[in-house]
Order: sequence, then C-alpha cells, then structure tokens
Amino acid sequence: MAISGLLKEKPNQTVAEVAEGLAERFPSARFHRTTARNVLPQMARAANSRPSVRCSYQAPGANRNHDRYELTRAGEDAFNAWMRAIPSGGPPTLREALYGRIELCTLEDLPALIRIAREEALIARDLYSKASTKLKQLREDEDERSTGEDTSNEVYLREVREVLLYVSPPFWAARHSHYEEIRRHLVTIARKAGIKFTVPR
Amino acid sequence: MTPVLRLVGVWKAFARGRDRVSVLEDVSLEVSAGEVAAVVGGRGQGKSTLIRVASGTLPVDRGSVWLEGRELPGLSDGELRAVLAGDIGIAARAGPEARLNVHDYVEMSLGATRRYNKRERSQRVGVVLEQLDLAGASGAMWGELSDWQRVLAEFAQAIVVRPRLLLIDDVVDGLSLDHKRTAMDLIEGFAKDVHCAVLMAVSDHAAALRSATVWNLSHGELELMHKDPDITYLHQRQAEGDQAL
Repeated sequence: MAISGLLKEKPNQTVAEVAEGLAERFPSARFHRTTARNVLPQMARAANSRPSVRCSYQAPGANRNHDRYELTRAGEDAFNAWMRAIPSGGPPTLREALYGRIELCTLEDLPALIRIAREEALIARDLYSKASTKLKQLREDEDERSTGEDTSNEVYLREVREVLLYVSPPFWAARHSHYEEIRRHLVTIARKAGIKFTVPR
Repeated sequence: MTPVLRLVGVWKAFARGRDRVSVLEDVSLEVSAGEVAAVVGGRGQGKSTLIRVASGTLPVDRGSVWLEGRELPGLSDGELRAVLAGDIGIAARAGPEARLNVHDYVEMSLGATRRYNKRERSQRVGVVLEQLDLAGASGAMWGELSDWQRVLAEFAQAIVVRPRLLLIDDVVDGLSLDHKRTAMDLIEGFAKDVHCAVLMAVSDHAAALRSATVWNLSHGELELMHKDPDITYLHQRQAEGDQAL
C-alpha cells in the first residue's frame, strides 16, 4: 500500500523515485532498495486481471529503474478502501515475538528471555530518544515559520502528518516500561527458581 | 559546568510494618542551570520522595545530595532553612497550610528570605502575579481558585525568590492539553529567564515532552531515557553569555 500511496500522491514516478519515497517516508519499515524494482512489475501483472498499477513508460535498455508507473483505477480503489477501512475486532497483525517465546519457553530459556526483554526495552528507549529529538526539531521548525495564522489545506495536512511525531515519544516510553515490567517479573521468577542470569544495562 | 543539583548513589527506604520498602535505589542525576529535566513515573514509584530528597527536606539512607557544591544533608537546620528560603523553589499541588489569599501566599515565600522589606516584597509579588496573569486573583483565597489558577499560584510562590533550583511535583498532571502546553511554556521561561535548574516529577511522558532530559523512575530505579544532544552546547553558550555580561 505504501507504493500505491506514493503513486497516488504523484503519478508517473520512475522506479527509482518510488524507491527513494519508500526509504524517505517509511524509514522504520526498512524497505529493501530493490523492493520497488521487484514489486512494481509484479503489481502490474496481477493474476486477477485487475492490476493496481500500469507501466506508463518503458525506458530503453536493461535498466528498469527509469521505467515509470501510475496507479490504475482498481489500484486507486484498493488504496482508498485500505485508507478508510475500519479495524476489525481481531488480534493485531503484528504479534510480539517475545509473547510467543514466553508461551513456549522452558525454565532453561529464562536467562535468554530476561536478556531479550531488556534488549527490547533498550530499543524502545533508543527510539524514545530519537522521537524526542525529532519532536524538538519540529518545534524549532514551527517557531521559525510561525508568521501568523495560516489555514490552508496544506498546513492542515502537514499537521495531520505531524501527529505521529507528537504521540511517538509516549508510545516508545510505554513500550519501554512494558518490557521492563516483563523483565522484572522474569527476574523474580528466575531468582525464586535459583536460575543464574545476567542482565545487560 | 557545575550542575546546580547533583544526586549521587541515593538510596531511600521506608518502614512498612516490619519490612523496609525500598523507594529509591542507587539514584544518580544532575540538572544544570537553564535545563528542564523531568522524572516520569507512575503513582507510588517514588517521584515525590525524589523531589523531597532533592530539596534536602528528606534525609537519605545512603548517597549524597548536592546543591551548587553544598552537600544538603551536611547543613545545619538553620543553613538548610536559608537554602530552602532563597535557593530552592518548590511547586506542588498542596497550596498554603494557613488560610491565605494568593498575594499573601506568594509573599510568604519572600518573607522567609528576610532579604526584602514589606514594600519591596509587595512590589515583587505584584510583578510576578502580573507576569503569570494572576494579578486579578491576587485577593482570592485558595478555595476560590480554579485548578489552573492554583497551578499559577504555586509557580508564583516558587519563583518569586528567583531560586537556583525549581522543583515541581506533579503540578502539570491532569491539566488540559492547552494548559499543559502553557505550563511547559512557563517552565521553559523560568529556566531561561531565572537561569535556574528545573526538576519536575510527572506521571506521564506526554507531560515530559518539552524537557531536555527525561528519566524514567520505576520500582526505585532511575533510567535515563533521553538527553537533548544540544543541552551541553546550550549550557556552554549560556555560560559564555554570563561571562560576557
């Protein structure tokens, strides 16, 4: 959907431009640099006869990075449906790997689980710090451009995108606390069971 | 640059029945002049204990607490009273113990320093209340104030002495988003204008978003979550500015 969204924003992009958009706009998804080159032709050859993109310009030569793609009507419909879909009551699609490990572990695995929980907390702490720095940068940018009340749609759209910047630090902080809480419980159990372990700081 | 507040390896436990419950475990932190630092923790995690320890009003079991090079636990009662009156401002949600109006509550902080006569005190209080847009409520009693006005009155009595260290205990929690933002603007302003170190205890990370340094306090353990990469540079610049003046 990320590729469809980028093509909806700006039709007739080259494969290289789409790849750049994926890397810049969705850094946390860590798309491989060849994703756009591999996926766009697949999307254009959809088996169900309703491809979501079409190649609007085939560049000469073997380098497919200069081919241009645009969204088809079916692709735009699918993207709009995804954008506005109400979440179902089912479990989130992204399962926490640690939950599965805890479900299936033996007592021998406890030291490793304690370490994993701490590492997850450290990752969350790092992301909290990065999100805080990003938020500060945003505020400084806002201070620089605050030259009166601007009510254009462009401003509102930018504010919508900035929402994630405001909520990210508390989100990562909560995740840090969550994994630390898991670690503390596991540590208590390991101590009671006489299992030796070390915890990275 | 010497930090205004420095806690080194602080341990604190309280008796609960026959047990001793540990509230602070090997807590160390530093806050410098002009810096706004936040300690975030849930209810009962030891935030208020940490604020009281930082103010010198609660003795520690182990470790040391320093305010600009003076070790607080080493001070006599008289010396500590003088430090509390002139160097440390504390904003909490408690309000005045006696029945006082806003003006008298704020003036009481200045009275403790014995640095000003009655006319000077009244003048300074007037200026601070004006700055905080609280002049209109100057004669109001605590019970007549809105939640937001109480927060402003707490800030006023804490900063009127122009403290070196401003301690804020759970004051911004529970405020509306707009008031939270305004409170953070004010706190940043205090740190900058008064050039004091600010340590605030808050319950949620949303209230700590504007702090240059953020610690998480949980189960007695303090963990540094974020330190603004610019903070050291800013301090250096401020120190250079001070020297130039």
